[in-house]
Amino acid sequence: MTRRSRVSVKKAAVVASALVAALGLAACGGNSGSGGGSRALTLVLPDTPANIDPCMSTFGATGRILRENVTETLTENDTINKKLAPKLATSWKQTSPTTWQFELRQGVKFSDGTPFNAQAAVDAIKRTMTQKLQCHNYIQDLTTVRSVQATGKYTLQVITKQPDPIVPYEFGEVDLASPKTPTGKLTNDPIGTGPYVLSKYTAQQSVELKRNPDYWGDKPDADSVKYLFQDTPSVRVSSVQSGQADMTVDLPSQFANVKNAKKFPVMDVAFVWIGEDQAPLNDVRVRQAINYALDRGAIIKSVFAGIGTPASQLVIDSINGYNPDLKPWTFDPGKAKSLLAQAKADGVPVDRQMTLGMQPGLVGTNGTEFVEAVASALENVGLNVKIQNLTEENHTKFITKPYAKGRAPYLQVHDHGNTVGDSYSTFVRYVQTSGLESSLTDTSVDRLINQSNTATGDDRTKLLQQVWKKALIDDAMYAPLVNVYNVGVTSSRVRYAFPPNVGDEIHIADFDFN
Amino acid sequence: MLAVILRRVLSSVIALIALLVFVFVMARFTGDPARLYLGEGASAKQLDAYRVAHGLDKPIVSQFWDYLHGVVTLNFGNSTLYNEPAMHVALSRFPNTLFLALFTFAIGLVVGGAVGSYAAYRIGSLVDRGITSFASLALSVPSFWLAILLILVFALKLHTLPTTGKTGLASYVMPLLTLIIANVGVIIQVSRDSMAGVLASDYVVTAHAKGLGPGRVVAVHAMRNASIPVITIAGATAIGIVNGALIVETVFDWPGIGKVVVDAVLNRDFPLLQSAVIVIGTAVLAFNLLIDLSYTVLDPRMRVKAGATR
Repeated sequence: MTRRSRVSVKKAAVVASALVAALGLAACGGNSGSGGGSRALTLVLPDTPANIDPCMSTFGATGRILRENVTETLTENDTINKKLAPKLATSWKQTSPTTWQFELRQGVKFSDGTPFNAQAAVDAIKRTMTQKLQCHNYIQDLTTVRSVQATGKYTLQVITKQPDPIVPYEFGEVDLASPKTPTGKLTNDPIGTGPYVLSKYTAQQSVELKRNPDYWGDKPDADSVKYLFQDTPSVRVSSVQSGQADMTVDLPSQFANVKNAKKFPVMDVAFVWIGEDQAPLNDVRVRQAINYALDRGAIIKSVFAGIGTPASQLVIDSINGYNPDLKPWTFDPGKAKSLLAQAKADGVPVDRQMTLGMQPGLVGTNGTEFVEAVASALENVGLNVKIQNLTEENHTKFITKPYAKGRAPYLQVHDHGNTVGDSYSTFVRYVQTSGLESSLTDTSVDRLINQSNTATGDDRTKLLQQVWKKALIDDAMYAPLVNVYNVGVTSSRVRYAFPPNVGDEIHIADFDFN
Repeated sequence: MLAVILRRVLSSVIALIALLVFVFVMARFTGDPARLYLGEGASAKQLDAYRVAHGLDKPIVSQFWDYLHGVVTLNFGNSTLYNEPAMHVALSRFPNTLFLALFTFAIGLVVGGAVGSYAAYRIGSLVDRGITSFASLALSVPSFWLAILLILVFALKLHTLPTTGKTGLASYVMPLLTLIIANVGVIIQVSRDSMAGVLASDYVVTAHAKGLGPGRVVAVHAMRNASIPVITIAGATAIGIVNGALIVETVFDWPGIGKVVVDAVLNRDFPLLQSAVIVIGTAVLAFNLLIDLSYTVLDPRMRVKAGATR
């Protein structure tokens, strides 16, 4: 090497060192860490909210941050104790088939100082119903509401367009924002009555809450909360395990056995939707055969990695009206074949090719394996099935009336999550003959549902249970498959019970520090 | 020179118009926004009301005319996901991706060019082999894996850098490191090959024979001729990043335009998708124009050729 080339090498080394030093200096900016105090909670969630407007809280990404943390609802669907609990409303009653009356909690204020009363509730609900905002909460829960009014300082009256027995449940998903919230546009500065207030919102990055010192209820353990968003499950888990975060959720099954992981049921039930509009599916023996053909245990083991339980109906046990006496159909391919033979002997075209669609993105599954497992089970008993690929939005049109004329008999591996808390919410869609996603033609089921609408308390619950039996056992209208489970991980600092509705709400008050 | 610029601009405008039409058509192949937003159980009446509110009930030709009118009047509509002007969302996110692209371009060009040139100067030596091996390794490492590895090491084990998000100076390090490593390998290889070819030229041999030092030979005589392919490849990597550094933006939760495009597609947000693609397309065309112009600066023959077409 010449003297000049030695100098060149030295210069290059100096430049390289400077670059490394610059990177290192930048690195000394520090890391996110897990909060600034011992009672600071950090959650790392998979979905980034598009906004944090209270009227969009039925989008899980938004609801998980706001509901019962910043903003509160009239009632609360307590899925752990399996009841509808008072929140901003202390009691409610149905004064006529289309009128509900709520008595509101007194001594409550929004975090901007505005008193909470019936007029404030009316303003909040009307904002949610404003057409211009296209609030998702309205679309999900308030379409049956005709009007709301304050009939007393703390008495709210809700009038519905038709009899609606689950109005109190539906208002468990309607977050109430301060009357000072802008009505002409969505906001990212939510003001509510909850135990926390927004301290910082960085769009697409993070949300930070701090304790509301004037909160009316029991003070949660955490002084502050930080929400981070990270799509990659392995990074989320590592964040928790390294102490940078305290909880994450929505993890694939391979994380079920890591330290502090918990498998827990969610609101979702996977089932086979059966279209009774076409033969042979309009024959109850064929539908019974479908139920007998499916080995739910094997499907859970192979498709869900053993995480889940066989389902007996389309709702989980925390939902009002769930029938504890119903058991999952037994796996009996011999009986299935026998039923199909009987139907065939009576002229039912059991050999007719049927279409089997798969709702994409089904919680916790590998979609292709799932639909193939179901198809294989049905073909094994002699049914003729062709698999159909679907997209997130077009899958509903095949199970929503009106159906395309002359279509092939239709089945779909489907997922339903009743977040409202009462079976009636599922009946109006999937069970009663007028339901958009119901192909049932048994009007005796309708009569039972109508009877339950005028009953109250335990009498009503018993009637709802009878509906499930009639629809799913006597009529075999669907084939319930799996009660879906989720996987979450917590740090060693906290205890959190992972309630079933964690997909929609994460109550910070449910976290306790060790 | 002006003629060159004008010709390039004209061809860019034609490409942009084609892009505008293409994105309109392709957006509508993604699916039905009404069903996706309203969810299951939405009645036909609710679906129709949503479509009317967002102009989706009109005939496709009518929708296209409204779209073109919007482009001309710079009104790209409201994002259904964010409920604010779609172009505002796209433009607010784009600088985050642009920064990644420009920084990676600059570092890749300087470092990759310098290292590749040095390897060419020491061709056949142990140093050359080491540099070539490093370049091959950098090329082969999947950026997704590298990004997660960096997070695990620097954020979660060493606690020196933040896990995700754009939260300060420190948060830039890992996304940039991922992109630089992913792209510098090819720049080193092209730079090495280009410089090796130039160093074998007669005029370079003459320069050595005249007693000029190696630094002067490389920097003054060889570099300019060797740089055109290097600028081309560095520009291509920057364009690739502008198109959407999707993996980096997803893993690091970086608020860039790549993530905007994915969110827009997943949510069938047509105004947002169209706005984001227009922003990206315009930037890519601008980049290409700048790269083409840089050739005429670096290589006088290009100016003569361009002039000769008159």
